[in-house]
Amino acid sequence: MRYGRIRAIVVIGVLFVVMFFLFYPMNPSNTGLFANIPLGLDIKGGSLLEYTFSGNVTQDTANQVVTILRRRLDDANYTEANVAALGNSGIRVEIPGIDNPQQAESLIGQRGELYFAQVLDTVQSSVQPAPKIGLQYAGAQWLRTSDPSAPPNTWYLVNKNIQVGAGTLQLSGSDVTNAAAAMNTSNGGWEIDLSFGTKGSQNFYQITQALVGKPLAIVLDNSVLSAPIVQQAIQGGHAQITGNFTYKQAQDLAALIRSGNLPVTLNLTEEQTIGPTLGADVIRTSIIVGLIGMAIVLAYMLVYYGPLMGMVADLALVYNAFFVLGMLALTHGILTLPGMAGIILTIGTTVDGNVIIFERIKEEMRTGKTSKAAITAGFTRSTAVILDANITTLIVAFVLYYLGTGSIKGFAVTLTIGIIGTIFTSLVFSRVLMDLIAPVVKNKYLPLTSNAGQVKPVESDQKNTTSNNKNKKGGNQR
Amino acid sequence: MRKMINFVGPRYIFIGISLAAIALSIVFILVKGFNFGVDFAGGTMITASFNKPDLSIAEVRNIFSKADPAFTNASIIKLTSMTGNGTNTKKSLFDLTVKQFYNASARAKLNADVQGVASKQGLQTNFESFETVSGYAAAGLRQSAIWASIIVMILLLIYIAIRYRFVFGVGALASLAHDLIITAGLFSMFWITFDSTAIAALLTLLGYSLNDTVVVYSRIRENLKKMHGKPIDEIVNVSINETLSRTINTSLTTFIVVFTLFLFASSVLRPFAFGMSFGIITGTYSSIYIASPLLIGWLGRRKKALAKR
Repeated sequence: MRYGRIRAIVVIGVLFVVMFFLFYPMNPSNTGLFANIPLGLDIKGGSLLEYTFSGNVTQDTANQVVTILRRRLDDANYTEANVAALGNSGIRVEIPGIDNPQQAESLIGQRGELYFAQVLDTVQSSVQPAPKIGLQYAGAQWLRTSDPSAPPNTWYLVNKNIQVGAGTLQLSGSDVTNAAAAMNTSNGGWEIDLSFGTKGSQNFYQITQALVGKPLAIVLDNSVLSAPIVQQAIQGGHAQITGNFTYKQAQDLAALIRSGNLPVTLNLTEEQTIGPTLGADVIRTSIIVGLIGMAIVLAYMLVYYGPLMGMVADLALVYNAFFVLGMLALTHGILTLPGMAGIILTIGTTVDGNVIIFERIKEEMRTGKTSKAAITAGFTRSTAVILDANITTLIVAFVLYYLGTGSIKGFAVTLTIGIIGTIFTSLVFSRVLMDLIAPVVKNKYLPLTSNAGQVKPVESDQKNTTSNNKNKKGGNQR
Repeated sequence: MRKMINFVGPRYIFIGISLAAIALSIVFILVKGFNFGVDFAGGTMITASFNKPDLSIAEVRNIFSKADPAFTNASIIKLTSMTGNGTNTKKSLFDLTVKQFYNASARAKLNADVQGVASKQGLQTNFESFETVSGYAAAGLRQSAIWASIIVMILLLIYIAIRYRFVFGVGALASLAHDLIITAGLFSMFWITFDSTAIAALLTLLGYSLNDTVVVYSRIRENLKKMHGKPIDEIVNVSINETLSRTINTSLTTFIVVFTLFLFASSVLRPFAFGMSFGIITGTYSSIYIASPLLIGWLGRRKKALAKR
């Protein structure tokens, strides 16, 4: 009896915890029935992008890339974006709620390598001009411009080592302390305001001093953003990139410059985008399928095991369904479409647990035990089998979790939670209910009803005749 | 006493049927191969919606191949139409698969071109889902699927080895191989997309099938002690019968839910639901007709050897 009470308390306690995490409004902005369960991209819609690094990359560099991209996406208002390193071979970016990833992709795919350069020559050409020979051209390269205000097909011969007096100076994105989009007050449109640190300001002053009357190119990812003519030496460490940008372009470029340049080039290898409409449609059908399947199974169990035991099995199913959903909310396990399939499969495993126990109880009844003794024996004897049977599926779930990709991981998560829930509901929840209804359950296999007293039912196994009245007087003998 | 069904009597017939099914499956897998999904083969799969419910596959192919010739040979499937968010307009849905990889700008161009061609015919279209996998990424995904399968099998083998005597291990293994090969064969036969979710289904299936076998084997072990002195085939047959209602009830209920999933679920879950539905059938069959009867020969021989000593 004491164990019975502990079991009952545990069952109610777990139910309380699960219901709390499932229904307590954790996030006030997110309302809805199961708002606490985080949904995967394949359900709520969004984009998944995978990139590989070109060349070999250390783990540190990979982590650096992740940090930079997080900052970039955050800056560009993709606040829900999730960036993760795939070992040291690549990265995965997940952005929920967008159905055209082109803009995000251009943001991720760019190195963000910014530098200022001296312009040695300017040419209009549809093909890349031939390299110039001469000592003064060493280290210089032809770059195209993306500035719409410049004549089309303009090429600049630029050198990032800027001649200042007898030596050279460099000024790059790492000298920039801040970048922001700002209104261009003179020409209209949007520009990017840059601020330099102490050393950067000094260099910028010297460079502008040396280049008065000459163009200074601002180069981002091997493309000349603009090449304004320096009017005078600039003090104070501020510069503007004007290039007739739209607000969004200026903002994204500012984010790109602020976040610093990527140490490697990224190549897109995989993209998966799901529109929000399709996701909603799919989850609706999945829920309907789950409910239909569950209804058939509930009815089947009632018919096969009769109203009493059938009801126990049905309640166990409902209990486990809430257990799985509540655990998903508690562990922040992301629910994906294959994850839905995992939950639907849980219906099968829960039924399995109860069926194993019920069949065992029936068998124990056939040996002539009272229903109470048969229930106790039935649970004791099926514990090992239930654990055994679920371990195999658990092994599979673990491997899928560690080796599967995104949505398959979601399947492994719900499968694992479902199996743990099955073991718990079968061995603890059903036990509480069966103990509760034990006095009402009739052993139809006994030749006469047990209260007639003509046939003394065997209380327990032949082997355990010494503990004959164990089940009558409770667990004090243990 | 309860009625006993004689499962082990005609065991050679069932073993024969299974061997034939395995042979057929292997032929299908080797000759016809698998309909690999884009995640394993590389390429692009688009789910496109059109605002005309009775659009035919040929019309969709026409629209797409005008926009991009790569779609002339695309594989196109019509899905159950969906109702848009908040509106009552029915939209037809199509899955299109091609071998090409599209990066962001290529994708944007394709989207614009398809919409352009469609609007000339008075149609509105939208890419509801877009999945593109480069050959490089596909190779990686294939590799991790292969690793997952190998590791699952090794772990299950270790589990069986710890839990059972050698004979039982061989029997369990034979029935696992049986289920795996036949279900994979069905994927090839019915040309169902073979992707990551199909692998997940096959591996889960291994767990389930082993679970069925474990329950019957536990009973056989128990009965070997309890029914000491009885002939082996009788012990095995009694054990199968005793666990029969459990096997049937469990398999039937699980089958009901995954089959409902197969009938109504979206294309994403179809390979999974297909694998599970038919896997449960072969798994149940093999644990009754294959795994246990296989034991009879071995256990019988052992017994004779013991008697001689």
